[in-house]
Amino acid sequence: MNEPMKRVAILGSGNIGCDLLVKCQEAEGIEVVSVAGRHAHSKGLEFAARRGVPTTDRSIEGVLEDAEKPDILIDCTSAAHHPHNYDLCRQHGILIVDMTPAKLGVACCPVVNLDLCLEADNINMISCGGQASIPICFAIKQANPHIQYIEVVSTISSASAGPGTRKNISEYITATQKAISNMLDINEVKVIINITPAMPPIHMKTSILVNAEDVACEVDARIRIEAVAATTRAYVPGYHTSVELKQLGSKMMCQVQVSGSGHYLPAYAGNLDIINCAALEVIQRL
Amino acid sequence: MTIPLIYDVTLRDGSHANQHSFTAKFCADYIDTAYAAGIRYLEVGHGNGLGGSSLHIGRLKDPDLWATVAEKTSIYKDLRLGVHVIPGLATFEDIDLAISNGVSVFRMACHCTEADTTETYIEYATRRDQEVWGLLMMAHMVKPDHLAREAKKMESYGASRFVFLDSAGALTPSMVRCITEELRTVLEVPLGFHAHNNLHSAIANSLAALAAGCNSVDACAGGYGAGAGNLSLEALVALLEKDGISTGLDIRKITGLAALVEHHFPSSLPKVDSLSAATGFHGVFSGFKPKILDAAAAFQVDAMDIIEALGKAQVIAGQEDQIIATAAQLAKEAKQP
Repeated sequence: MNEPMKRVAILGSGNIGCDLLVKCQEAEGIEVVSVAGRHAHSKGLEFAARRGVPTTDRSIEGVLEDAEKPDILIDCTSAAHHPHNYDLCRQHGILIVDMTPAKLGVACCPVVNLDLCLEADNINMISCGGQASIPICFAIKQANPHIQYIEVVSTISSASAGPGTRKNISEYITATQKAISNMLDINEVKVIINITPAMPPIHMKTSILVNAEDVACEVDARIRIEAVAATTRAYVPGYHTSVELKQLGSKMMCQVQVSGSGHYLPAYAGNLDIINCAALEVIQRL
Repeated sequence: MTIPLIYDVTLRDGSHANQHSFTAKFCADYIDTAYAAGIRYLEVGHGNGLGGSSLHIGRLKDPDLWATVAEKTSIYKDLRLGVHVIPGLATFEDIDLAISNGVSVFRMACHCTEADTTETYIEYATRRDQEVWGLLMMAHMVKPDHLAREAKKMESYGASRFVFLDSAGALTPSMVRCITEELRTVLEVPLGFHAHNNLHSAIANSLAALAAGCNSVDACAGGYGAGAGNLSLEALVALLEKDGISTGLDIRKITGLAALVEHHFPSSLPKVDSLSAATGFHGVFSGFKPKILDAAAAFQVDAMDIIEALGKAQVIAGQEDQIIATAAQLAKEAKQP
């Protein structure tokens, strides 16, 4: 017997919400029952309507008006709006997958801790930079359990950074730092994000830097990085190492490039793709 | 010309020249001397500002520096201490910490096309009653009307002054005049300019900015700053005084400030050389210079090739990792027949 379809509502009709809509519709076992925004004629709501999904311009309140509630709500709004959305979902027994850096839910990076997150009523997808870096940080930490400092520098294209992203930069940094630090038990984590208007738009790049003296064996770390990159590629097809781990003076650096699958924005928007692929991986397991 | 506000960025931009190694002791001496010379606006910190200290860009060597700075602001009540704040490096927590250290001027800076990334930062510091300026970096990368639209956003967020930065020393005096004139038609807040000397044009550009209607300039003692250096504070003051424009600064003591820098950092004084001319011409961020040299050595490629590739890829300040990625790529290409 087939499992019943998971009924999913997408809250927020920006880049993240629209790309998730396409991904969910293409996935098996997921039915998108509603896309909610705040402006009736927004590009995102019109996009959703064209794809045959019921829409509302009254945000979460509009979603909850339906007699038949969704099983899962994906919050693609902003860190400031998330607490309110979480409250309402809890009252209605709806699971929430949080795409904002609000830090309320259990931080999840599928390749590292998916199984440990599945019982939570709020699963936080951290950030694009978190999803891109955590697999590599995980590999480095496995090879060097005593490592106490790690740094993550992401660069995304201006064209892929919507208004929500731009208003949440401080929250993005603190949420990503906290998630990496807690998930991998690393004392100090420093996160940096650049937004560049270079044309043609660059594909998302994330560099991971550590103190060279903390890495006992460069070869071992490299092998583990390639292995974890391959595992991550199983749910993020465009995930590749672009600079191999290399020592430069007292630091070591490697870099991954993330190309998107082009569902909503073109391939440069790997930042959109990686957090959404991670969320989809979670939803399919719920 | 009205009396310009001279904003001293030596203890911040100069950090690029000495790999962020100003000591608390040097900062204390510098602040004492600068105050005595009449400087009332002074910026301190890592070359890339709050949150800049990192393996990626370079670690700030002496974290005690902030305690010293806090002490100086408690002594010199009318000294305004500023910091450079780039969203993406700095967080709101960094702003809180700076306020507790006596900082009262927050210069929110971003790449020239991304003004909306500063909105929440400008609001955050404004709500805490701080003086907040808006800064757009790498101003040579867009047309004046585009720059003015971005600047207008910063004004609408609450910035009380707007400064455009020639971060790659790539502008000419006529470009600076055009930009200033365009900004004057669009903005209501006062304007400032920040020069770099990659093409020997820091003085000419700054004078052009002042003549066209900017009323503040950023300067460094001895021009001590990123890459080929910044506008030389003592040369500017001397030129203005000769033209009968009183800056309120003591020229003898101002030259003493430059001497203080020369005495402490003889090996990293700014130099306009072939590399800086190349970065100026290709519009590559001045602060990249030492890292370009390091990457060229590590991957055994030509520094000039790296500069050209970075310029072509429109790499912006903050993308230090791209210097390494570019050098790695050039080395890879060189290996292939």
